[in-house]
Amino acid sequence: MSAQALLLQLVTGVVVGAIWVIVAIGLSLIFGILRIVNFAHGAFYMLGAYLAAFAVGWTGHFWIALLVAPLSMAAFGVLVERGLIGRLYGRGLVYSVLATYAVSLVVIEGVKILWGTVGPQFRVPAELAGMVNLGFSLFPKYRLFVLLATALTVLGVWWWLHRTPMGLFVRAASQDPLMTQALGVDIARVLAGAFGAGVALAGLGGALAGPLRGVFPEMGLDILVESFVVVVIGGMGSLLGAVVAGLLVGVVQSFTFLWAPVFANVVLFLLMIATLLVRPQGLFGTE
Amino acid sequence: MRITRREFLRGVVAGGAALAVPEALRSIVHAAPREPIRIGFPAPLTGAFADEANYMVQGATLAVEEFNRAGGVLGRQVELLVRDDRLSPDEGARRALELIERERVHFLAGVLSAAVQLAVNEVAKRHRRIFVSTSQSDKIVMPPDFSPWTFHEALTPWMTSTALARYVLREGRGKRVYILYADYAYGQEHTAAWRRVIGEVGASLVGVDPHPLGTTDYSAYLPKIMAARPDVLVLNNFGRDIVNSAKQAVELGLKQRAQIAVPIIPTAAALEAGPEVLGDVVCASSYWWEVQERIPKAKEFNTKFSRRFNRVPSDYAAYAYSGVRELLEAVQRTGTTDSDRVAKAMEGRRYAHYKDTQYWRACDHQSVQTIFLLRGRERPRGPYGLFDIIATVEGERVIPSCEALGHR
Repeated sequence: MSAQALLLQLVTGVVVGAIWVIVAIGLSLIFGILRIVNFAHGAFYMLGAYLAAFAVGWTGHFWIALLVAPLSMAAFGVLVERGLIGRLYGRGLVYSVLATYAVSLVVIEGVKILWGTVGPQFRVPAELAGMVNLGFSLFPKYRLFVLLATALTVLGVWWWLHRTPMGLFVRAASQDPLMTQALGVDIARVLAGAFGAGVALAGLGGALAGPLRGVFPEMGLDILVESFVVVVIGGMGSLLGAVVAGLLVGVVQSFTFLWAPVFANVVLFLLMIATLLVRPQGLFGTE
Repeated sequence: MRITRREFLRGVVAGGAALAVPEALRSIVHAAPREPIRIGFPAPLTGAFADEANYMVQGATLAVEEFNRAGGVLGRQVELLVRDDRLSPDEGARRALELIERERVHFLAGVLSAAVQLAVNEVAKRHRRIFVSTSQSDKIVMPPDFSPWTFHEALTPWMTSTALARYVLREGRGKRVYILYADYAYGQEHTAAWRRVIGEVGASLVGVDPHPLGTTDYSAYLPKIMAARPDVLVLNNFGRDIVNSAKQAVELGLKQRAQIAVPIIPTAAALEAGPEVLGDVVCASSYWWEVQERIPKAKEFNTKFSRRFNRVPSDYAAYAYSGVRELLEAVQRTGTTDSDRVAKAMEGRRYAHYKDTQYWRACDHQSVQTIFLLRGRERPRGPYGLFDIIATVEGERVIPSCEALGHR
């Protein structure tokens, strides 16, 4: 195996990890602040991909789609939180698990009823089609773009959490909701906003992955499990954890494909088990 | 027009009601209404192969409707009972059992997955009911899975990949082969056939990797494949796995370096992938609608199918149509729904319901039939004109002998 091929394998793994990062940040954000495991995250990812594909179909612009998908998913997320999830706070984990799982089923079946079992076409946009020379190998431009978009998204989320008043409220609410409320913050709006942001990230992940992996009703099922594994490895609720774990898992899986493809199915879970045994709170988790 | 599962179910209910009317009228004349002939039809209506399953259900529906319109079979109406097996062997076996025990179906047909059909076949065998399988598998025509009531209308992986591999390796770009296969019965069986032909023609296998069924991102497999510099890249997978693996291989520039070959590209997957991906890709098929240029029967079938469902039939639609039609004709000939007698009447019979003549080989009930080799057009002719037919292979030239399959 030449050095070039190994480098290519590495970059490929990083890009696969990048999509997990975006989806896992959303999942982690929702868990960190609302204390619920969002089983509808994969369905939101799928819906984001559909909306992006339709937006490209109507406007012809991938860039518009990249805005439309997360923004409308944010609105949808707020709606779901206000209409359903928000009514179940304080009833324990089981309620939110069942409720989000139900949302997931409704969204997937709803998509099938509306648009059928065959997804819309979603091609790599013309300006990002083709290859670029990385020095050691040619590499698809679009995959590099996914990497860039992920980096910008991570920075954006960090900036939102740490440099804006809303982010301050969100962080405060995650540490002590009661005290935050006592200080005059409308906690209901903060929680809805955080859920909306998490769902927007799922939608963005779907929009970015669509041109690579195709758009179809069940596309979110695997990514839900995979991003959950990433969140557990990184530490529930940790932004940095989701980023590091996402990239790590992407690279480890990539090299598993290279050296031991029969383990491709289980390597994720082996990593998760190892993490849980050695560091149960995850790489960057605090509890 | 795309038919969703719900629309479809609604259609079946409505169709059933419409069919019940003449039956009711007839019952006034004949005193007692005669029990309809029921065919249970499990298919993966949900899951990765849902689109192709939809085609199959339409094919079977067309066959049943044709008989009913002509007054039924033995004066009885035919009912098609479609059930979702969700692409799971357990679910398939449960549905099949339910169909036999609760719905009292006379026969089973359908199924789309090597693993699910073996599970359904097991149930059919235990209840000594005819099962006409419309999905690829090698094992189903071999002991211990094969039974006197098992009929295999679909091609086997052995036949399909033998035909394709011989063509590609004799007339193709080179002899260095890399195989990426979905790690379950279907992918393994096609890979075994390729290995055999590689040995037979003196080609070399430079790499072979399994991937999990339903993988969406293949990018991590591709650097290794490129480093091996194959002349031929074989993708032994099915449905959406073909679309994603081929698309990503093309994205990384593998099409310029190697001939991409896929055992079969079902129509739904071909339409999803489009000519950018499938241009120059070669595959084998039991049927491609454009064979109508040389086979009149195909033209007739295409017309009937597209008039009813507003699209051209796929290879799996054709399997289902042909399998159900052949079964009902045998019922008509024998005058009974007894599986033993109907099976005897089918054995060895020659028939042509949608393409050129095929026949049930007596020892293993495999339908011996023509295989078409196709190459993706860079510039498609219309929305459905995706493939050129580059060769036809007689089934007899690629089918293993009865002895090789373990039949005495």
